[in-house]
Amino acid sequence: MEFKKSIVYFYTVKKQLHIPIYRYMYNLRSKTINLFETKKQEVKNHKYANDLNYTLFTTSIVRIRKLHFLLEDFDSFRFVFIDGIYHYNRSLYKIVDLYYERFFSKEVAYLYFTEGAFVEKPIEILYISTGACTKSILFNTRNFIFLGKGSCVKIIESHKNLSLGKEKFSSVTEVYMNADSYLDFCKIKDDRPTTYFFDHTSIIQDNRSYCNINTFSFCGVSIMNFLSIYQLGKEIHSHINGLSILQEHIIHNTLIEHILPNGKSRDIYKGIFDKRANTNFNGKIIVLNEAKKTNAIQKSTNILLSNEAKVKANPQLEIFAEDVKCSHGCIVGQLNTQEIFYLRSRGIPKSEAISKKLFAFSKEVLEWLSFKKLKNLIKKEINKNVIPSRNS
Amino acid sequence: MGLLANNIYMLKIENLHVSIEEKPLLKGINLHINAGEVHAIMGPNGSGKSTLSSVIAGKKEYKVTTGIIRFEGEKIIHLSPEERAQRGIFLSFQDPIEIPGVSVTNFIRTSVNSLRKARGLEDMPIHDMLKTIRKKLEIFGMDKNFLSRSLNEGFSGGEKKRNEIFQMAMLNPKLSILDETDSGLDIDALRTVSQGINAFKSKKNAILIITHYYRILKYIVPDFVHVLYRGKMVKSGGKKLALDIEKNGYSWIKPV
Repeated sequence: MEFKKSIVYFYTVKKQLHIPIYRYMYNLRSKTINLFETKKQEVKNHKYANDLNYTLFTTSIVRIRKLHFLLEDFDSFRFVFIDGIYHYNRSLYKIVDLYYERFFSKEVAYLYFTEGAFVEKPIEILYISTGACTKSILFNTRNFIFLGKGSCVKIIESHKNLSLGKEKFSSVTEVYMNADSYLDFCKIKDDRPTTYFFDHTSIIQDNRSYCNINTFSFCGVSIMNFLSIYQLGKEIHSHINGLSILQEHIIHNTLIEHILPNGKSRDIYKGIFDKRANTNFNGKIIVLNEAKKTNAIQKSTNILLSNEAKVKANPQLEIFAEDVKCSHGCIVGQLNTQEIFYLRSRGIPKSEAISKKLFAFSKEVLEWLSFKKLKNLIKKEINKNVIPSRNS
Repeated sequence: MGLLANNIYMLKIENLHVSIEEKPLLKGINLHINAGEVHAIMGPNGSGKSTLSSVIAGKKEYKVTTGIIRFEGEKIIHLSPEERAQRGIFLSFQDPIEIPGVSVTNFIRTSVNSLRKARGLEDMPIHDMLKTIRKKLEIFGMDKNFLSRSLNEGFSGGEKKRNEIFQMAMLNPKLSILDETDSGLDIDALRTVSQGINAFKSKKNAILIITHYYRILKYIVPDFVHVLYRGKMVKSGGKKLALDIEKNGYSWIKPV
């Protein structure tokens, strides 16, 4: 936490975008490594980490000849990191200013958008682990994203694991949004069922900025999404949506902090859980006493498809200001058999009826998604994950 | 068709007993419906009319203890609802459920294509589909906006019923069961819907109307009227029987 604070502090105090990045990163890196050494024991005692022995860096460099099968056909600017190293020839474009700096992770995606930058196509950041190292690897992938005044950007982040090992992705994303900027960020966790994901995202927003964060969790042994948004200005809109379709363990922790007046936030998490899925949703909205006229919505809706699936939802509000409009709630339920019967009585097969119903259920999240092609991917995901087990 | 039709009924129910959680609801129903016929089932509340329609459509909650249901000669009790629909059975629900997020167009398209697929046909081209949908909408005097709305969500009672009949016209089933289609419709809506049903009626399909009142039977004239009372068919007759019930109520019919 200290480390995160230092970054946040650094940015909020100096609040200038031309940071001497090399020196700063160097200091930060050495600090973090020291911190990790002292905290190593804690990490090892963690519930989902204790039986795993990770190496931090891979030594071999692997060449992948046929990569295209991995890549969804998005019309995008693409950055590919293979085993933590940026591959220029795999990536389709080089845009704006891109820096890499050795940090705790091998290389960092540092995206800097100048004032008024408008990026037409989405930017895709793809991390690939090849599993060339015999031991399981802890991948530390990092994204730094700076949005200049009035810039408009769409980003997709995804991870792929090519090995059968218990790989662990620990991804940290930091986003600094200046006034009037717009960010559409989509995170896809759709990998082998042996992969662990730890995702920390923190976003700092300035006046009138607008962010729309979509988190899709489809596959993984254990997925943890920590998302915090700090509204450091007025009239800020933050929309965070989550859709989880899975059979394993997942934790969502979200935090939205309204600090100044006229902020808006919308926090909608939907889940479709099957088999022995075990899920936690901890949502928190804090409205500090200066943040008047805040409008915040928080909702967690879940469908359980099996008897063993578990959901623990914990939507919280902390309000210190007056004249605000906030709501929070959660729903946990099962598929409505009447609805399925209605669809089936019109000749629609059972599996298709369920898929249709589930897709309709996730529509509330999908309508905020600006990437059309992703919608098809998600439809496929619903059919792939949920339907086979229903028919058996 | 001609060869088959002489001996095989479209729907043949023999000695049907149905119960839910050990509680008997239907106690020995017999019903024969031929192609081209219109049957009406009347009866007081709780007599088992809706149970009968649900059992024919394949609702799982009801348990068939004894009896046979044959559709065009084939036993259908073991079939799933979608298989029955694919063979040509259609149930217009008494209280259609709301399905948020599924638009009417999307639903109709999937439904029509599922039925075509079961018959080994290709998907209907979208262009043709929209054309047919528009044509049918006109018949039932429905608004175009209706197509982009979520299925039954926020529909008024009348709209729901019209939607059901609209689906019937789109799916073109052999046997249509109309479960209290007239309830919730005003006089004018009842007339348009009835006209639509009459236009749909042909020698190849059959209609089973379930109702409390005579008023829908004024527009759609039944060939046979049956009275269902406490899970049994107590009386059958021509359309005159419906008039008698309208005049005297159900109390004059004594259980046999």
